[in-house]
Formats: sequence, structure tokens, C-alpha cells
Amino acid sequence: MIQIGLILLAALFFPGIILRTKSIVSGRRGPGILQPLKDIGVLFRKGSVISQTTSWIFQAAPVIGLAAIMTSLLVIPFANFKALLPFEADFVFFAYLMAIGKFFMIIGALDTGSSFEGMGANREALFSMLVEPAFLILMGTFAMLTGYTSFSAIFSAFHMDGNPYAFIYGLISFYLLVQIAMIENSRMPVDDPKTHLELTMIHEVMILDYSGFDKALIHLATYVKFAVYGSLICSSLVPAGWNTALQAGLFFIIQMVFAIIIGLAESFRGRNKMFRNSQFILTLSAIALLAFVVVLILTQKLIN
Amino acid sequence: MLNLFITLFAITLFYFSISERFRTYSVLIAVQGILLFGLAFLELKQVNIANFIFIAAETLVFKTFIVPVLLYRIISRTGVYKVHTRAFPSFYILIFTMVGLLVSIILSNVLHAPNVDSVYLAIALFTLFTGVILIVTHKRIFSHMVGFLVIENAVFMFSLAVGSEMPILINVAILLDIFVSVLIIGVMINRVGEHYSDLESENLTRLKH
Amino acid sequence: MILIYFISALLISVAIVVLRKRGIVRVLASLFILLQVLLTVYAFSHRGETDLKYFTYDHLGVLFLLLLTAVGTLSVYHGFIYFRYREAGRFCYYHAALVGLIASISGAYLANDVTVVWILVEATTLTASVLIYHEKTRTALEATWKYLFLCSTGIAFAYMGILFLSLSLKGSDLHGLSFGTLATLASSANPLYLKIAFIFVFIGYSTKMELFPMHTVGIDANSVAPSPIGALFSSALVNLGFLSIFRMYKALSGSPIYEWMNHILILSGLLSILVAGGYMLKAKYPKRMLAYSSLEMMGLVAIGIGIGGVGPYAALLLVVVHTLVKSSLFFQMGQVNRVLKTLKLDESGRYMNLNPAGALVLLLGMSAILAVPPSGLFVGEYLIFKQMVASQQWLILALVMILLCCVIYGMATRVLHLLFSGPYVQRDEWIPGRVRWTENIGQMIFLALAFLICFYQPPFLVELIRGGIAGIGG
Repeated sequence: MIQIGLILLAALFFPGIILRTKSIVSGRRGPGILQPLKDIGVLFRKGSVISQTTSWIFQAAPVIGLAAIMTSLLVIPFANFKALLPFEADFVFFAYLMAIGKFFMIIGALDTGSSFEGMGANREALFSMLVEPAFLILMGTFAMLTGYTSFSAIFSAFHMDGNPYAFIYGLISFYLLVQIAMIENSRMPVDDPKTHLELTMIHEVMILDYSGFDKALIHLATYVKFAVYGSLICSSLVPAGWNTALQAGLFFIIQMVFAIIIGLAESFRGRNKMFRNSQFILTLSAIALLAFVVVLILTQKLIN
Repeated sequence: MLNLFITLFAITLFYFSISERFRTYSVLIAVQGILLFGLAFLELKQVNIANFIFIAAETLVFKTFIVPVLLYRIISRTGVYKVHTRAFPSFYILIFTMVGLLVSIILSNVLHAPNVDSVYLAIALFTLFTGVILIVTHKRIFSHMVGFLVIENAVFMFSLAVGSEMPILINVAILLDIFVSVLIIGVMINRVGEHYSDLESENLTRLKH
Repeated sequence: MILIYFISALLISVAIVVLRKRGIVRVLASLFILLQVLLTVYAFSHRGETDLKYFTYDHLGVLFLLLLTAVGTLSVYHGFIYFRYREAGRFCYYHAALVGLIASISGAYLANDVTVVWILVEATTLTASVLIYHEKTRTALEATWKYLFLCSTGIAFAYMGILFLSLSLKGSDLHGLSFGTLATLASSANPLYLKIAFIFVFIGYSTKMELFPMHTVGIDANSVAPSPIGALFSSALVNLGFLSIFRMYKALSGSPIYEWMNHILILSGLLSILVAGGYMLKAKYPKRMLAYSSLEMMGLVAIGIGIGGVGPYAALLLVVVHTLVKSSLFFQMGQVNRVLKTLKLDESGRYMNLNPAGALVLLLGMSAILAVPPSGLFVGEYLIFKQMVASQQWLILALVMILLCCVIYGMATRVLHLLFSGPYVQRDEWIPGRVRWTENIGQMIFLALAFLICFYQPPFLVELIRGGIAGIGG
């Protein structure tokens, strides 16, 4: 139970920290940490304008997106606590929950009949397809290193071994998870959340037609997704045997560092040229594949 | 330590498929030279010392310094900086390289023999595949040459796996390296640059039928 | 003796580069030919001996050395004539590289160790590329680049094969990879690795032999190099590729992969003839046409070896006669070029009017290379077909016959057009060159020998060939 509370708490502060980091790096003071929450509050109080050409999918998509993210909270572990509902191969379940949320967002965007949204949906689908092998291979390597297939079991067994290979793999997985998180949440260098040119938007253009309550739900889903990935990163970095209070403190610190990293990355990188994006994302899968092969050799699963 | 070198080598091979500038290729060849030197150092402990010094010196001097410097000179002389003429996603090349890695792992398992080190076999095959992919998928002659250098690295690495028993084989591999690289690169610097302002192998189609 | 030979060859080629006068270079080149003849005589009389630990005067080596000396002599002679009409700029480099090429080929013929053969084949690549680039035109540059690059890739592949070979024999006490030790250890080695080794070596040396996987190298090289060099390529280098593959084949024939190697050879031979037939029907340059004809002949040779029975004997006979005929045809092409002053088939014609002696050589040579009966090639092909019938390989027989018909059609129409009919494309004012009829004597002698072999095979030839193919099949 405790991890759901922690993740939701982190999700409340996450976007604020990103925004504040970007402002400070640009030389401004920037809005307060809780500003995005206040924006969501404003959105909740507004009414929605819904296009005549859309069907029920358009209204259902944000709800399904948020619901999928919330459901995934059930399988995330924390410290010594197992997840609420752990089972074998639940990381596949996790990956596909994310995929369902994204799928409904895509078809919701296509539902509006706008060509810009169709274009954004197309690109979003491509990037999700390319990043999926990276995530699955990453988790698969974890499973191979520890011998378990459930998030809870993997992370409780991961740093227990303490051999140098696990440490190196921990670093690699940190890098990969950060990149995957940034791609899944449509951040730089794959997608620029600040751009206002429809031709260059990817995720922003999918949600162009949403307003009011639906938009609030979408934003909430994004924030919680950030926090979920942050908790995954935290679990992979911090060994599970330590004191719970220490773990909780580390959890918040790691989330904050993660948010600052994203803010810094957004401030200093431009968005990739569109055709380079697919190559960039596939490179992540290649790195994951290489790490997988190396672990395969190291754990003597390759006949030597 | 050995595994570290081999992993770094594999990373350089992946880097070949995603880099966009020829200067990166030169740097990668230099890095591969250093890694091969490290591999030779680790592997050849039982060879006599003179032979070992020769091999080590050749790898370090030739592969790490001379060849990349020559490549840099070609790049600046012919003014060809980018790997592809038009903006071209290296997407498919990266997919081929990933498939090449998988195929070489599988082949190494299939071709398993008791006196062969599987890891060496896998990485040598992967290097061979990457070299062939570089030659086949790129249009510029410079890439073909770099692909050939990568194939030579594969042969050298493979001879390391075998050569602890027969050092003459490694020396011969080095001979191949030296003569053919110098000659090919020499031809490139002097001749092809003069005739062609743009090094495309599409231009090399006068010989037909 | 061979040490003296190598050192002298090195000194002569260095001297040629240093002293650039035409007269001196000619003298030095003739000196080299004398040295080559001496080596051949010595090798012939000391058959079976091993010299300098890595070189053995075995049967096939001596046979090919004889052929090399004959073709080399004529090539140097034609080289002198070739340069009579050109500026002397590249004269010394050409002859130095020629000396280097002939010396490395001789060494490679006589080597008995896999690695030494490989090194010398490497050396032939380097010297040959100097010779191809001789004319310094854009086309020549392109051909040189392709040749150097593809041959080097092939050589790297062949080396990979040698490494696999040593891997497969690892564990046994091995000091160097001579063909003799290979033959004794082959039956106990890991067959999978032997197969891989053979495939790699085969692909690598097919660049030299002009056989299917990497035949394009030789085709381009032959069509661009000067004619005397083209003759040397088509005969000596092709023989070198053949000998390297054949020695490996013979050494590994005692192992379990013998049948599989035969299949590979037959497949590759068939595909070579297919490619040759297809391209021959489109050839626009006579030298290229001759190169495709070499491809086809080598395909037949590969099939001959793969078939077994009397096949290897026939294949070697084919190789010998092909050397004689093809080289004389290439030398004649040099004269065609000088008389007609063009390299294209469309612009050539009426050669019989312009140079009757040379045209006669061309006509006889064409009928010889197409294996029309009084030719020695006919005996070889007849024996191969007989073997195919005896082992009931009907499909291969049918395919080969059809494809050979395409080749015959392609080549005959082109050569007859060249000889008798007028050019398709009229050129502006041009004056045909003059050629002395005495230049054709050497080529006539070669053709006469080729025709002689059809009826009478001299006993020393038979003995050398039989000695060469002894031991196949373990």
C-alpha cells in the first residue's frame, strides 16, 4: 500500500520540479513547485468543448489512459514490500498496460478526423513500437540475472548478489530506464512539449482537441507515469534490503534527481530531426540487446 | 577484463551503424586498434617475447595511429565528410547490425567445438558481418574501405583465438593488414581523389558489359 | 635454386625501376626470362624434391611452371612490341611489376604450405594491380580500384578459411600447415569446421580463378589491362587460383567432406557457365568476351573435378590447352587493337582484309576455344561429358550443353563479325595500323600445340597430369 501513496505524492511534485529546473537554468525564477497542480485544478473547474465529429472513444480515451496508469501501480514494488498484486511475468503486464493507454490515446486522436492529430498519432505509434523491445529486453535481462520474472521478486533479488556485473548492469539499466521514461512521456529529444508548430508536435498534437476535464486527466496520467518510472529507477538502483525509512527518503531524492535530469536534458538538447528519432530510439533497443548478450555470456548461459 | 574489451569492441561495431560523419569512423578504427592491442596483450602470454613485441607494436602503431591518420587525410583531401549523400536514416543498417549480432551468437553456439572459445568466435563473426554490412549497404567508396578494415580486424581477432599455438598465423595476418591497408589507402589518397570530386561508387559504372 | 630465383627476381625488378633506359630494361627483362627458363628446367629435372622447406617441385607445380614460362616469354615479347608504340613513361614500372608478378606466381605454384601460398597470392594481387593501372585512364582507375578491393576482400576471406582450418586441426601437434600434413590429419578433423574452411578458401580464391562467387574481379581486370597482361591474367593467374583450390581439395579429399566438396564445385561451375553464357550474349568489347570465355572454361573445369572418375584428368587437360589458346587469343587482341585502333566491337570489322595472318590466328583460336574438334579442348570436354553420362548426371549434362551453346553462339557471332563483316558504326577518318606478320609466330606455335594435343598427348604431359591427380579420394 505504501508505495501507491509514495508514488502519488511524488507525482504531485514532479512536473513542478521539472518546470522550475528549466526556468532556473534559463535564468528566470520560474513558477512555484505546485503551479502545475493549480493548473489542473483550474482545468477541473472548466467545461469541456467536444467536437461533433468524434465518438465515444474521444471521451473515453483520457479516462482509459489514467485508469491504465493507476492499474499499473498494483504491480510496482517498493523496498521490502511486495506489490499489491504481484504475479509471474507481471512486467509484461505492465508494458502492455502502458500500451493500452497509449493505444486509446492514439485512436482517440484519430477519432477527431484532424490530419494533424493523425500525423501525431502515426509518429507516436512508431516511437512506442520502437521503444517496446528496449523495455522488454531490459526487463528480460533483469529476469535472467536474478532468475525471477515478477517485479517484486526481481527487485528484491537484484542487488543482493553484489557482484560487479550486477553493478554495471544497474548503471546501464538506469541509463536505459531514464531514456525510456523520457520517450514514453514524450519529452526531449524525441518530442518537444513546448513547441506550438503543429508540424513538429508529436504528443501535443494528439491532445490538441481536448479541453477542461479530459485535459486534466491526461496531464494527471502523464505525471503519474513519470512517478511510476521514477519508482522503477529507484528500485533498480537501491538494494532492497535497507531500512524502510531510508528507502522512502532515497525514493524522494531519486525522484527529485530524475526530475532535475529531465529538466536539464530539456533545457540543453534540441529535438532530433524527425527521421533521426527512429534511429535514436532503435539505438536504445540495440544497447539493450547488447547488454542482454553480454549478460548472457557472463552468466554462462552461452555455452563456453 | 577480456569481456570488457570484447564488449567495448561490440559497442564500437554498433557505433559504426549509427554514426553520420566519416571522422567518427576514423576514431572508431583507432579505438578498435587499442582494444585489439589489449586483447593481444591478454591472450598471447606464452608466445616468445620478440614476436609478442612485434605483434603488440604493429597493432598499436599501425592500427591505432597510422591508419586513422591516413583516413583523416583522405577525408580532408577529398572533402567528403558525411557518410550519406542525402539525409538518410541509418535505421535499416542498425536493424541489420542487430540481426547480425543475433546471427553470430546463434552461429557461435551451433559451431561449437571443444577447443574453440565461443566468445571469440561470436565476436569475430559479428565483426565480419558488420564489415560486410558496411560494404554492401553504403554507397561511398570510403565506407567500403572502412568496411574492409573492419573485416581485417575480424581476421586479426580470429587469428588471436587460434594463434596461441601457431604464432606464424598472427604474423601473417598482420602482413595482410599492413600491405593491403597501406596500398589501398595509398591508392585512395593519390588517385581516386584526383579523378573524382565526389566519391560515389555510383560513378564507378563505366565498366559495363 | 628457388632462393637464388627469388633474390635474382627481386634484384632485377629493383634494377629495372632504378635504371630507366629502355634498352637496359629490355635486357634485364630478357635476363629474367632466361632465369625463368632455368628454374623450369631445374624444377622439371628435380621433380619431387623440396627446396627451402616451403617449396616442392611436385607434378602440378612443374606443369604449370612450364606453361607459365611459355606464356611469360611471349608476354614479355609482346610487351616490348606494345611499348614500341607508346611513350616510355611507365615502361619500367610495367616491367618491374611484370617480373614481380611472374616470380610470385612461380613461387605460389611451387609452394607446399597453405600460408605461403596465401602470401604469394597476395603478392600477385599487388603486382597485378600496378599492371592494370598502367594506362592511367579513368576506366583503368575504376578497374584497378575494383580489382584491388575485391581481391583483398577475397584474400581476407581465404585467410579466414585458413584460420578455420587450423582451428579444426587444433589439438594435434602442428608445425605449419603444409598440404601433406593436411592430408594426413584431414580424416580426423572436425568436419563442420573443414566445410566452413573450404567454403571460405573457395570463395577467397575464386577471385583469382574467375569462378562463380567472385568472378567480376577478373572480368573487369582483363578488359582493361594491356593485352599481354590480359594474356598472363587469363592463363597464369587463373591457373594459380585453380591450383590453390585444387590443392586444398586434394588435401581434404580423404575426409568425410569429400562428397560435399564435389557438390560445391559442380554448383559453382554450373553457375559460372550460366553467368558466362548470359553475359556473353551481351558483350560489347572483344576483351570482355574473352574474359567471359575464361569464366566459362573455368566453370567446366570445376565441374570436371567435381564429377570424379576421369573428370579430374579431363579438367587438367582443359586447363593446359586453355592456357595455350587463351593466351594466344589475348596476344592477338593486342594486334587487333593496334590495327583497328578501337576497343569496341561495334566499330570493328574486316579484320581479315587488314591483317590476314592475324585474322587467321583469330579464326583458328576461336575454333580452338570453342572446342571444335581438332582442338585439344574438345578432348577435355568430350571426356567430361562421357563421365557425366557414366555417372548419370543427366541434369547437369543437359544444362551444360545448353549453356555452352549460348556461349558458342555469342562468341562465334562476335568473332566472325570482327573478321569478315563491316563495322556497324562508321568512324571518321582513320588509318588502320600496320602489323608485321612475324609477330604471329608465337601465337601460331601455341595454337599448333593446342591442336596437337587433340591427337597426341605427349607422355611427359600425361605423366605430370596423372601425378597431379593421384591421391584424390584418399
